[in-house]
Amino acid sequence: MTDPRTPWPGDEMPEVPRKSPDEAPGILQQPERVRRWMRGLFIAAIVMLLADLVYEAHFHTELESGDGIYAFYGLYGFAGLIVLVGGAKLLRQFVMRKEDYYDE
Amino acid sequence: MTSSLAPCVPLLVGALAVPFLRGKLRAAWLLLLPLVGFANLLVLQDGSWGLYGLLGFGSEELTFVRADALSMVFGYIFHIAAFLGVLYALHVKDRVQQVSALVYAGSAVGAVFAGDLVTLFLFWEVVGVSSVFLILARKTEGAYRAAMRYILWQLLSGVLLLVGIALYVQGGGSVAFESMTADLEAGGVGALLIFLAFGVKCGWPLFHTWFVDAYPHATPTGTVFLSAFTTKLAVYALVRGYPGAEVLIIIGTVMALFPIFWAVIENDLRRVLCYSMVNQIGFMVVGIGLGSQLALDGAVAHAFCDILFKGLLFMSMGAVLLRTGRINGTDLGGLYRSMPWTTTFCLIGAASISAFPLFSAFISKSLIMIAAAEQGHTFVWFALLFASAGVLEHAGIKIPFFAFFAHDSGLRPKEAPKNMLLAMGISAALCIGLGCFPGVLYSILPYKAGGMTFGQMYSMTHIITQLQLLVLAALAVFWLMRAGVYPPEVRSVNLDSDWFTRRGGRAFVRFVGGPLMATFGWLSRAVHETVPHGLRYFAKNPAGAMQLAYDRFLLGWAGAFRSMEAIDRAQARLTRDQGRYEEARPGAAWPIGTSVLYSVIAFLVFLLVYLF
Repeated sequence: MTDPRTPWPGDEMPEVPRKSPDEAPGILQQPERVRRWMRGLFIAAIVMLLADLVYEAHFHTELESGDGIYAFYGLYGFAGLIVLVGGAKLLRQFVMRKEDYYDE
Repeated sequence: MTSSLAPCVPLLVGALAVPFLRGKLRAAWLLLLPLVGFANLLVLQDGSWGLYGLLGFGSEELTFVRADALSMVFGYIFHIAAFLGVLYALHVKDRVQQVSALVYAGSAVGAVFAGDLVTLFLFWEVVGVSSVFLILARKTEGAYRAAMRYILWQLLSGVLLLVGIALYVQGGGSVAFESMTADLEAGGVGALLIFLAFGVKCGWPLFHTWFVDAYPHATPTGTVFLSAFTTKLAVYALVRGYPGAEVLIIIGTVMALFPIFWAVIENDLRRVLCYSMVNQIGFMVVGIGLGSQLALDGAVAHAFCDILFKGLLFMSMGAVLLRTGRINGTDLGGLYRSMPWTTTFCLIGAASISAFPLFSAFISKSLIMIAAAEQGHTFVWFALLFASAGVLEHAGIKIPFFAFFAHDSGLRPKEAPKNMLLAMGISAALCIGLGCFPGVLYSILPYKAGGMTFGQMYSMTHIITQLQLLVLAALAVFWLMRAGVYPPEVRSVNLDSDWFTRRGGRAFVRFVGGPLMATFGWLSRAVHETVPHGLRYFAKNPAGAMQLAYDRFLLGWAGAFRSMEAIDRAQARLTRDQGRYEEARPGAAWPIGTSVLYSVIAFLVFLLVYLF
């Protein structure tokens, strides 16, 4: 079977070594480990949200304080990414074409 | 007299010797040139020199070298980028790429030190033309076609600039390259065309497709050079030529916003980085439009940092492309096992562009954000903050994650060559160095970053708010991935505004080749054959011709409405007059006066047709 690859003819295609069958599973192939990483990220997020309680913020301008909303930056980042990913999924409905769309 | 060379000389002249050198000597020469150029900058004194005349300008009207703080910053970073690029590409033996890369870098340096618009134009064109070889050198059909599209955009920018300069100077503007913001906002056409010329190279929305399209087609090493110079030269030109032009705030905000959506769904990882370039340049363009000292320095600082971290990211992706022959997210994954160093450097680049504290964008992008807030641009500030979170998604997470982690592709390529690792290592060190010691960069900026200090940049508030933004945004991304909501990589292309030039262009060519050519062919025959033949026929015997026309009308009339005899009579009359027409020599059968009258009438008709 040939490799799935970038479609242009003439491109150099080096021989790439493959993984050996007796290789230990990678870090993302171990579900327990992935769960641990996600838990770590979750805890980091909570710590960052709570940080707003324990320090006194000094902003140059009122605008930068996010109008004084609690943990504004965290909430904005989280919500922003959901809007971004949702928007991109929507965008895909309109702009995605087959890989050879521009080829003749 | 000055003790230093013109800044572009070491790279441009040095490039000429490259084809004559072999092996290690050539490698050493390539590395030496940017170092010599950099050393030359260190002894270069502020001021203008190298006055000359060209294109009708007097012998001392043009300024080959104008050195001030702004051009120096770009001079430094262009030499650093040239050195890193040469080091990264040291294993490449292709002399065409080596020479064109040096000429490209050298002319970009020449452009930022150009003291007048004509000199700027000359280097501007060389930048466009020399860089195309880095795309052609990929030697694939796709690269060839992309290179042709690329050069058209470069030439468009050059033509706009040339016409703009001509109109601007003719309209009383100075040929010296200074701020033209006032002329632009007063509605000067010349200033507007120059503005657009800069905009094309800068990749404004609708113009951005030239590099989003072409850069992913360049060689693994070529894209590293390409990402550093052309667009940042345009940023320099805007800082110099149009500081505080308010329309740039809107343009920049749009640039920062829309590409992040395309970046999420793009499969070619180097094209993801191109969308990321549009986004980062958007921040710079906003800074230029804001126009305060802090904002302008923010734009310059961000350009400086961007060249390094974007270069680093392109280097890591170039290494992946070189070792695997693949660059699509769908084909990659799990490479961290056999390319640990490349992975590490890529992660440093990712942290830098995402503006984590202690990494470079944290100390440059913030200048622009603070300036936007200070000047009360509420919407712009919120938009840029959203765009900052978007950067983390596509450049901070997507690039390293899909290439080196994600689903295991089973590929175990060799680690990148040593010279590539060294170039990536130096870039990574510079990214961290700039992040940790912002004062070094601030001290060479034209306005010293508006007096921004390390303490203000690394205030508790700034660190915590930024980390909060990034950590929560990262959580959202991984959470959406785990939930299966995150759009998976798909082998596909995504339409962008270049659809209009690429598909629209093709439709245009078809239209020209089909209906338009047929129409013009008919018109051409009419103008060149039918009408002249008719005129000659008429002119040979005008009265006879009119008599015949009348006879034909009578024949037709008789045929439609009269008896057979009438038709015969009309036919006989026509035959008789045809004989007379043929017999007549011009003017013979009719008195001179009548012919003159006819001629005058024909001439008048011709004049009327011609004039209206």
